[in-house]
Amino acid sequence: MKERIRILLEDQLPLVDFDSDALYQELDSLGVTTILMTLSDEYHIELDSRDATPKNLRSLDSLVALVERKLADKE
Amino acid sequence: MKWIECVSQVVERFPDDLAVICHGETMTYAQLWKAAEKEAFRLREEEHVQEGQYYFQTCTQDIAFVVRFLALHLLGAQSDILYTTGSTGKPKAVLLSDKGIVANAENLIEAHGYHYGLVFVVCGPLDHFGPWSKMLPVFMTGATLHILDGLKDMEELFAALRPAHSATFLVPSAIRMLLQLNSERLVSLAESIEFIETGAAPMASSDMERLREILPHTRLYNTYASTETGIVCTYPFHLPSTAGVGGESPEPIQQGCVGTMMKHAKVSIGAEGNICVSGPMLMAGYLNEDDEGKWELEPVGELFESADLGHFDCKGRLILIGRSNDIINVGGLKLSPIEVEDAAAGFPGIEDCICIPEPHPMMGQVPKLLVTLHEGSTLNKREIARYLKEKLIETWKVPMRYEVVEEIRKMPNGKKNRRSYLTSCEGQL
Repeated sequence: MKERIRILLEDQLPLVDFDSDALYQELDSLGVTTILMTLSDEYHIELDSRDATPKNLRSLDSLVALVERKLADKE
Repeated sequence: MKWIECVSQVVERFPDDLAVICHGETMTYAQLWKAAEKEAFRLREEEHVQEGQYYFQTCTQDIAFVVRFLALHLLGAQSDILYTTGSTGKPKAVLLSDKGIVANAENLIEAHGYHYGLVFVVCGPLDHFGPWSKMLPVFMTGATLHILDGLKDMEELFAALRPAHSATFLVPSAIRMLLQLNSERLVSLAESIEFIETGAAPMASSDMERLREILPHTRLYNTYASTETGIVCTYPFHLPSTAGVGGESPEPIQQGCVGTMMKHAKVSIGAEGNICVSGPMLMAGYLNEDDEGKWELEPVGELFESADLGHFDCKGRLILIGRSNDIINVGGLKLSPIEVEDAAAGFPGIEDCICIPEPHPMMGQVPKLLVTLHEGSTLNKREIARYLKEKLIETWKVPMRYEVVEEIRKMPNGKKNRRSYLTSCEGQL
């Protein structure tokens, strides 16, 4: 899942370094929205601005954890 | 009366009321005035700023910027200068006279209903005309300005809009972000948001419709304005009779439909279909710097012919249909493709390139770069994106899409044939 998310997001946001542990700092409003919408579409999960916390968007690993949590909530 | 004199009267009437909020910091009108007087003194004594001099300041998204803005007017500023996107790739300095500032403020107050007690939330950069112009009516009416630093944290926006009698200006892409991800949260603000103004880019009629459904008590305006023309006219799309284009089109509109002409504005259509504007809210002119660093005003005259194309419908409303130049509208921010091409030309391996608009579900348009490469060269999307970020500084100017092509289409005179690439984006502002 991690590599799939990386490929998807790097294609959408070529300027962002998804290896960073300070990912949230790198993003602007379009970046945050793009991540939420891309993950929402890909994994059929509901994400909104309450999910766009610095903690959830800290790194690629934290994004994976967010998706896993949302998928688990669905079940 | 000068704009700062109008503000001074407000300070006398409402000294203890909130003038500005930003990142948890607040200032009443009396505190703001005192801070501006102190800053004016500092500017005069330490930076030797005086009447008749051009003073350039970097925009910061905070109360300090508002204080400096007021301070410069207290020092006798006759006009303000804002930089706007030039079609040649070089930003142009636009001079706005005090008369124009007052006219623009009055246009907004009358058309949108700014009043004492209103909390106006401004999210966009204060050095852009849209957000900047909202300071003018706010401080003339005793309203409160709540400054946010962009929309990265939407929760901050929701909190700012929670007080009763709140209002905001959002570009269509920001409204789409709200509708896509946060429409349920928006419903909870239906009683508190008095009005939302949009503009600077085309807005889909489906988004207008959804916004009207979610916020049935909110006044919604789509405004035609620019740094050069000032605030010209506005389209009240909260009124059912004005749904879509005259209530007739269920399709997404790629033109803003703008109805009510502002008090201080007159519009005519030129021979080529360009929208021509006159009135006191117009800019005084462009401020040009010559080779010796001397500034000279290129006056606009009585009538300004914009690059926007339009016509009047049978009800006398102004309909925007496109632009006559090559500017790319990135979610309300205007980008000259030449600026991107000039920056990209220095990237190793690139032989030629052209920057074109590409439709984007959120931003309306984003820049895309088509390149031809020298033999044996390859293009790494991330490397060129980072190279361009260094050159262009602002992220929104950096193309999101890149494509290697066989050739860049040219016209017989050798110029890039931009129009030939516009089929999928044609008509977009």
